[in-house]
Amino acid sequence: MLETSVSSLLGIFLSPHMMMLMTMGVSVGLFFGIMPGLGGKLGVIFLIPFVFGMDPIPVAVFLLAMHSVVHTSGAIPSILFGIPGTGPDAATIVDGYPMAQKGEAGRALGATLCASGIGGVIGALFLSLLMPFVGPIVLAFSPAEFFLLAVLGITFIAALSGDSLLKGLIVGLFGLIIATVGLDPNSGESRYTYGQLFLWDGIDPATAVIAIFSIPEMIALAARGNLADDDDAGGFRYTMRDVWEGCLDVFRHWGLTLRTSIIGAVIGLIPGLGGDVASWLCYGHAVQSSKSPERFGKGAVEGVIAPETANKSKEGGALLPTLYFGIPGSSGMAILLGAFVMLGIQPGPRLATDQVDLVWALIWTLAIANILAVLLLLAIPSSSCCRCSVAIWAPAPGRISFSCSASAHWAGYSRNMTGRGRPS
Amino acid sequence: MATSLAMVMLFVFFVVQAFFFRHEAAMMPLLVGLPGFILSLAQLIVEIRPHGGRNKDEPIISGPEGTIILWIAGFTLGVIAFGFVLGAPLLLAAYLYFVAGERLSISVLGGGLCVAVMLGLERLLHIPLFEGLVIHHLL
Repeated sequence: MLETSVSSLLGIFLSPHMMMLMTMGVSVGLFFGIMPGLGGKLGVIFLIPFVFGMDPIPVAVFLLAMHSVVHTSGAIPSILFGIPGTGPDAATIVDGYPMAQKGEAGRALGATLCASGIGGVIGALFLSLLMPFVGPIVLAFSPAEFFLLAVLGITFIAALSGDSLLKGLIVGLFGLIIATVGLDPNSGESRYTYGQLFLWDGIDPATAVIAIFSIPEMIALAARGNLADDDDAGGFRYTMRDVWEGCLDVFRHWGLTLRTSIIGAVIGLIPGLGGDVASWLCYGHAVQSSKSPERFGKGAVEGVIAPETANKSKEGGALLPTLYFGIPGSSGMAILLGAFVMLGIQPGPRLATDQVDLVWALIWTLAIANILAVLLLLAIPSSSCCRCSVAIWAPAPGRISFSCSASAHWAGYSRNMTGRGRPS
Repeated sequence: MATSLAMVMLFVFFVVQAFFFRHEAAMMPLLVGLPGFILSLAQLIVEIRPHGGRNKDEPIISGPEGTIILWIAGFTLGVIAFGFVLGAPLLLAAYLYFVAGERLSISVLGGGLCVAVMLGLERLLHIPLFEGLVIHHLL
């Protein structure tokens, strides 16, 4: 196993193609993270149609690199504007934004970046330490256990429905009935296709994912108005010394960093919980374990470190059920899982025996991408980066145009959107 | 309430259609569709009852939401008629100018950027985008 691990690492480091893809993935991920309302899920959704058909391992590395660093830059608008880039970044606002208002924006950003990097590396380490034990356990699973896991997956509707279980069940059933569109596998009869050949295989996953996640998000964003209107960030001035001070804070609170990283990774292992739970739970842990909890909410650096390490390390934990059981550990992993399947990577127990090199490549990607992201963000002044990307990409219609063209490109047909068109 | 009503109608549509399939093909849609219809009807009843649902003063769709939904409908028709390269930039520029209240120069620049992205997809990445029924007819 050690040999496979080292060869996978060398395979990434010694391949300019892989390193370039990873750097591109990290850059794109940072861009999507810094944009309030976009996030890594939409990033993966946008890119799936364009990477379809390419070599699976480099593309998997690219997509995972992109997905794993989204929250690193997502914390920047949380601190500078008080607007979370993504859901799990919301916990960072509680102390990050007050720190910025107190004139400690640089320190908050430094703590965020360093905590993110360390959390990401510990998450990858956590996953790699579990590898020797997971293989035999997964291989002991028979179809009966996998059936029970599938039932368990459906029961998560109850946990994810929020206040209304009824609505959760209705939407779950709606998803199941949409899945009946296409040819019936038993009788071969076409259902709900209305003479359209492109519907015989069912509704394309990329089109469905864009329709479910992207379009409603854009409508909500357009209804909320332009988030870049807030001009607060212009008032927050900071130097690199402040940023380094924040980085050192992470090492000063090394016990908290380590504990929240491990808690985050364990939460990642449990399907259905996700980054929001990891961030808020670890924030709560930071408050409870502090000798002066009254500082929290008013700009305590521990309140920034805890959620940032947690929402990064949970990616390592979440990758495990995603790869070995085909059960996504979070909603982001669910989309990534769909992307892997489309690329021809079949998650399941066979990965433990047949594609160990792929698993190790993904573990290394998690670690390297997080380090790359921190280095990139330390090199670029965060506030100007945030402002530029918001200004360029703000109008929701621009994003809708891009989503629809991505959907139209899927499988080489524009018919997904219009019902008609020319094949590629 | 509108969402629940739409869900009831969708499940009715799927269930009624399923009765026209052969027995084997109809089983799964009926197995899923009938409970879906019953549950969405229950949800609709809960929302219709007094104090059971939305505040009556609260609009179903807010102004900005209605605008963007109308824009999406217009965008779909525009793309079907004029394709992605022409229809998408025109509608993006129109949104920026008429809805977002941007200056004409910024709106034109936004449309121009959209043309560049679409042409980049077509020419550089060789991604075939729908050309539009009107353009197809003219060519």
